[in-house]
Amino acid sequence: MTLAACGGSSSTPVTSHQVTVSWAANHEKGVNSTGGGYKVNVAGKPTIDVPYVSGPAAPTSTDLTLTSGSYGVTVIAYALLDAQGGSTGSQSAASQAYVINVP
Amino acid sequence: MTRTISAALIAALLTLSAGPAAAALSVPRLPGEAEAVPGELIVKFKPGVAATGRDASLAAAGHSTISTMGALGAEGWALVRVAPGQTDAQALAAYAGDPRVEFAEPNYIYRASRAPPGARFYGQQWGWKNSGQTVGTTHTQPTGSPVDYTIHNPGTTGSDMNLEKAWDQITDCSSVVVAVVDTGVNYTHVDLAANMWNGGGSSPRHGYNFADATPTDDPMDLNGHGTHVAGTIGATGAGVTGVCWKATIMAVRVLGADGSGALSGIIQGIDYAVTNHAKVINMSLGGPGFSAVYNSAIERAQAADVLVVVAAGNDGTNNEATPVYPCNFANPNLICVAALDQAFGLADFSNFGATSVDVGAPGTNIVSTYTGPKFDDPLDSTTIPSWSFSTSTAGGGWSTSNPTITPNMLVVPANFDTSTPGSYKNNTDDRAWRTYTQAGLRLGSMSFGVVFDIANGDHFRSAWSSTGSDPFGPGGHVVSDDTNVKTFPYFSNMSIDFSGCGGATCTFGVQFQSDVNAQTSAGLGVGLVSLGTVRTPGTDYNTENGTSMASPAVAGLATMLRAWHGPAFTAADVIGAIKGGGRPNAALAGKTTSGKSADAMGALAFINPPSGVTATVR
Repeated sequence: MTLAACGGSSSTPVTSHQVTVSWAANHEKGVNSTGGGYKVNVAGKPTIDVPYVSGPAAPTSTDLTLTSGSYGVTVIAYALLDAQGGSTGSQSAASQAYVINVP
Repeated sequence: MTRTISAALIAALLTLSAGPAAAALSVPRLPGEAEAVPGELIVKFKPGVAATGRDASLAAAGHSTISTMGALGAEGWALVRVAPGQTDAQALAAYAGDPRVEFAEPNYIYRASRAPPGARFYGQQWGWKNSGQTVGTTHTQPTGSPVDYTIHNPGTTGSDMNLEKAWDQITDCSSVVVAVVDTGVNYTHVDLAANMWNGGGSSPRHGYNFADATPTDDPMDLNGHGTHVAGTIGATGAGVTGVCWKATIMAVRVLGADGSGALSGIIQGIDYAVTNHAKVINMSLGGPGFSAVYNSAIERAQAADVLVVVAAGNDGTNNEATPVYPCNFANPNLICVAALDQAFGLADFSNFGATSVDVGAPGTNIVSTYTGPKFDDPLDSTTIPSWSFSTSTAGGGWSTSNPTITPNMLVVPANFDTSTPGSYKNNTDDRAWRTYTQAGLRLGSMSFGVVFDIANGDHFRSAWSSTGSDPFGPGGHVVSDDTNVKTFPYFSNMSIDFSGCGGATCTFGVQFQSDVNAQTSAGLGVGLVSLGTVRTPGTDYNTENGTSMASPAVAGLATMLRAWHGPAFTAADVIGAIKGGGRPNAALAGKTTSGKSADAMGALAFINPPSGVTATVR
């Protein structure tokens, strides 16, 4: 999709694209059950929550719209169980960063 | 109780709603799955959301208020009933986009932290629950000697594997087969029999025996080491409690009654475990030699996604400088374990290694199952009359040691002791033997200590016989023969297979023989004689020290993790969880790859970082 910037005929058009970020499924039970899931961090953008909904596993992809540029993306997995046996939650370290180049 | 006040409040709420709660208890759930009251959620509204807004949210979700949870209602809490037929996931999803809701979660059921049901020696199992207790001798050894690791006994409260919290999540690991590749297992033991693997017609005794020249289908433990290891992994709680209360333990005998075994048997044992679908292998054994064949067996386990847990070694040395195998193999499916004392210090005997040893686990004064009682021969006035002696005319024969020396020893020459070296005569042949009988038991091993200073060409030998007479005569079997060795003034521990007599009676003997050459060596002493037996059905327990005891603690945890997360949880996932979820320990910093002690609850809750992130631009 091409969007025209307002206010002048000489402006450069801003291009945005649909982007699908995907990752390998985590194997922890808590990630793939109620209260678990993933958080996707795209540089400069709000964190995207990808919670477990139903079935055997949490989703392992999410769609977003990005304009031209390069974006670092990381994924964190989370679950309800904490290291003291409570349900305050735990999360993983971030995945290795992947750079998205949007033309 | 280890739960918090808020958990107690929830429990109280359940008491108030006895009808639905009682129904909840009968709802089937997966092992380890959090239990919740069906049809109920707890919803927390954001601060400032008025009652009309809360009602609108509940109406949109199709839910209704059960309670505003007393004083908590003012803070925006509500206990709600979900729409008929909704699953928990569907009910929770109903609030996913609601800006008025801070969060919603199932109405979980909490219980008092689980402690093992009545294990006789649980109070001694500091590695599971360290309350600062002193570990004593409250085991069933008829002549049990005191625990011999005195550093940090008692230790430090809380220096343990945090298992009681983990047991709130899971105690049943039976969905995962764990192989004990060791001296075998007393599969009749009251604390193990119910947790042994069913090998079907080809392995009717729960495993296999590769320790003898001809493999057999009987992996009975004639030493005790493997049974001790098995109990740490999966004792049922009759006397001691394993990391797993329910387990599927495969007995793979690759070490004999003397505690040693050939590589050929070890390789066959690993392959047997892999072929028969073990997913965790514990190998509390080690040696200095690198072997490509050995390594290839670990690689075959790796190809089958089998995790191999091994001991670091008991030399108190750095494995980076003096490698120990299998610990020093670099396979990604292998995790190597150091031993910790009761204050979570590195045990003084434990090997370590910044790139080869991975984590620490309890390894001193560990009480666990044993294959049978041990009987010490104190070599004092009560037992010396039971010994027979013979000597050549040239030698002075065996003597009992100076009574000021501890322990008592049989010595050659008569004035030998560990502070005043003697000088034995040449051309001697001195023998001593004793016949042991333990009715109702099977004899397994004979262990003893020898202080050596003998010259080249002179010999110390040990032997057994079923004839009841001199075991160095007709019908005897010489099982060790040492020459040109000096350990003086220290004991060298030796152990021999004493099962050859095949019953409850057998004769053990020692011989010193010198040649005709004059020499000035001091002589030798034999002491610390202890007879190991096998009892079936097994009812015995023993306290042991070693990285051999630390390794199965981690193997049990690995088994628990694989059972908890399910079959998709890989060996690499397990290692990531044990190392990542461990407890930082300064005693292990720079001496292990993680610098951490194994922590069961931490490992259960640990989440490995996601991998394989990619993106598609359209």
